[in-house]
Amino acid sequence: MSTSNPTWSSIDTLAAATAALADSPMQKRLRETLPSVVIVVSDAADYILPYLERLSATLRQTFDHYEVIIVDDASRDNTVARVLQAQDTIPGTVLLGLSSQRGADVAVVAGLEHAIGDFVIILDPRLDQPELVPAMTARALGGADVVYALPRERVEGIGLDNVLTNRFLEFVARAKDIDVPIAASSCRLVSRAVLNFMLKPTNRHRILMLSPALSGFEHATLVYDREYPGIAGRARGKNRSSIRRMVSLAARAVSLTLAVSVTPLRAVSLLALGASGLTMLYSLYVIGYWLFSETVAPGWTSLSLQISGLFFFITLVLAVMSEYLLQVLEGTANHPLYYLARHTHSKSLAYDNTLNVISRGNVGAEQAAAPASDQPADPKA
Amino acid sequence: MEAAIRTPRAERYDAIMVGGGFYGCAIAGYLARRGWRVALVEREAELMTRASFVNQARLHNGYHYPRSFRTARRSRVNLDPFRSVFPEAVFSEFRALYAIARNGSKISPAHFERFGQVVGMPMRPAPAEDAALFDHRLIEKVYEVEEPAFNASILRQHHVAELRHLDVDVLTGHQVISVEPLADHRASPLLVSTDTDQQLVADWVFNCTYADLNHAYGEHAGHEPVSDRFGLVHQIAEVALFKPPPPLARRGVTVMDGPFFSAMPFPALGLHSLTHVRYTHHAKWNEDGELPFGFTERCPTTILRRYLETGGGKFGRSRFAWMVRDAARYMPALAGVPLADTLIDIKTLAVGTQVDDARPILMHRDDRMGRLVSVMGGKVDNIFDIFEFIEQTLGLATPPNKGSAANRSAVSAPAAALGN
Ligand SMILES: Cc1cc2nc3c(=O)[nH]c(=O)nc-3n(C[C@H](O)[C@H](O)[C@H](O)COP(=O)(O)OP(=O)(O)OC[C@H]3O[C@@H](n4cnc5c(N)ncnc54)[C@H](O)[C@@H]3O)c2cc1C
Repeated sequence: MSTSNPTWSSIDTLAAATAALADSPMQKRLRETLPSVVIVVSDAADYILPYLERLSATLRQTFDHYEVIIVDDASRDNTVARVLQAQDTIPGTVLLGLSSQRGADVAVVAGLEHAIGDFVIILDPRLDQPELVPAMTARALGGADVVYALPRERVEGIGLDNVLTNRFLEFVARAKDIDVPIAASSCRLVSRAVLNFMLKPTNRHRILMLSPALSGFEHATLVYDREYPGIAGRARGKNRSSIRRMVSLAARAVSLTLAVSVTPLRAVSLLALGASGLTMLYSLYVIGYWLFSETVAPGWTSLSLQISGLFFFITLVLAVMSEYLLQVLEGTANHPLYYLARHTHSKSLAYDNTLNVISRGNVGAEQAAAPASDQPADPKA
Repeated sequence: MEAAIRTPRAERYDAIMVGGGFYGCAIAGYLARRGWRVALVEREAELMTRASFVNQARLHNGYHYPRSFRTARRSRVNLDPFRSVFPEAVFSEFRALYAIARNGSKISPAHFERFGQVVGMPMRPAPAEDAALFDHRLIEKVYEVEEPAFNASILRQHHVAELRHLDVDVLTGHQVISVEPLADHRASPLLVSTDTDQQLVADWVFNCTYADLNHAYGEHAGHEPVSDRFGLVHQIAEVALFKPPPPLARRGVTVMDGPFFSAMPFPALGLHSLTHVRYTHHAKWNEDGELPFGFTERCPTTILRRYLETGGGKFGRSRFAWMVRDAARYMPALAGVPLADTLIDIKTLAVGTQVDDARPILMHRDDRMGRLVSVMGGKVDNIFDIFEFIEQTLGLATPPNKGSAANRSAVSAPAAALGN
């Protein structure tokens, strides 16, 4: 998969990749490639239809074969109804409906586990424009098993959330000695080889953010300006700095750190060990004092300090250990990570046929015969 | 090939077969062997090029129907007779493997084993070297079973030779466009006309046109449709062919039981076939319901032709790209295997039989033309059931013009009867 190409390996922005796509040998290779695009939606009724139309219009321009896997993380609005409706007219889609809300990472894993493509591209329909798919796939064909799309706001560190996320990734990368761009977002492409690696561990959903990097395969990056297709203009800024989002980012950071690294456990066990050593010394001191001193003054202050200090360590240890226990239990209980309440497919698989007919010029004769579902679903087309 | 067009010696026959697939040929041979004078009219240039060639070539031995004990038992009954009548056509020089998928399967290994015991089917856990061909994240258990394939070319040769030997008049390249009664009663002899202006008369006409079953007697030519049509469901089905990579060369694989695939020998071409429950069927419609792709012409093979014409032919329409990628997830040896050829044709089922996978033979006598018998075979190996029906229900062991009057007035048979 890693046949390096001098021109493609130097391309590092979406704009440059899109421009270079006109290159005809690359176009031919793209036609023969089957990408799987995984998008997770949750309460996306407002924007999912136009997004799917735009995505599918983009894909059919570039690829003969593709699939779009829409994972519904148990939306409470009528997202599912919208997608089912889209499946009548938009070909090549698969809807996986999770039976209960499992969070974005589990939902992505569900999508990855059903993907058949040579490459899988994960897009967040709220943030990432569909045009990334051809560019990232071309970049992968140009020689990379992992392609990270880096949002420019992250690369430039605009906003507190972006700075913190960057710092965190930098920290994990250094601690684990892995090669991951610190501006890596959830939008990435992985080859089948990397995908196989990613889907092996039982805690695959917890390490999703880092597992392409942990695989050790070569990566490339593309910097892009997010278009936020799923978020209306005003809401973008609000969404970015909301407290809820910060808390959820922090929670994911903790979960990820614990999942990829035993350092925190090691640290607290050392801490606990040190604390018990100190307690021992203190006890010796108390005994010595009792043996050699005539007046044993009642030392309430130091006693309470000692007790509260110890309890601090004990509770800390407990907290960290229970976090691990949670993960261990989850791994051993063998609960399915998710359960599919729904698994439906588009009425038809691809538009390619209609395209062939039109490109051969016998439009008049064929139009009546063209599959109803092959009529352009994209109003802009 | 050998089935060159011969001018019929006589206009009048005891029986005419419309359709030279496996069923038309087999029934023609059966009657001719009993002294009937038989003609067979086939639309294509050769015999047995449609469903009888475009299929998975599986000689069902029951494993395929773990949700229907009855179908499983019944399909086992036919294997031995088939083997004894067409020994050269039965290909069993490969290891047949059934793999149970871990997720999304309607049966579990325990269920499959129990089912095998109850129906009495030979099966054992596959040897380690075979099991190692699968990704165990996706496949729970693999069994080695006994289920051969048939060679459709050899079946064709068998029939061509037999029909010649029995002096059956074989007209290839002629499409039957109407079947009409000569007189106004139910036992009237029938007049068969072709698009090449041939006219043949026979006491009995067997309509063995499979997908076009409701279109062989003239509806499309402006004739009155028959009074009661078959309820048929059609699917455009693709059997993709590939050159098996070494690990698969002497193996046939079926992944059960759900939206999975099957990769098994296709002996007629020395290749392997790949079919996938999710991708093989390009379209599905009810004969009397809404037609696919907005087509307005009801004849299924016309729909198929238009579908292929408008989509860059069979390769333009092929879904191999999806099939092989999904299959390679379960069997990594399939990754990157190129498409060698692909076969796309109509697969037809009787309404009501899709649910439990039962594939009975459908037989039907027309209300108006009592001597017009339509036969639709659900599976190649079911063929022996039809002979029983012809003998017992229709009472046609001897030719109508030599036999007793009883044979001629066998109009009391039920208007529609299912095999067995
Ligand atoms: C994709 C697929 C997979 C299958 N897999 C299996 C399997 O693994 N095992 C199994 O046992 N069975 C399988 N089957 C079923 C099996 O192929 C059929 O049951 C069998 O071939 C039916 O034989 P037939 O003679 O009735 O049909 P056909 O072989 O289709 O014969 C009908 C013939 O009638 C001709 N005809 C139609 N209209 C006219 C007309 N107006 N005038 C003259 N001629 C006409 C056609 O040209 C054709 O040759 C499969 C079928 C399909 C489509």
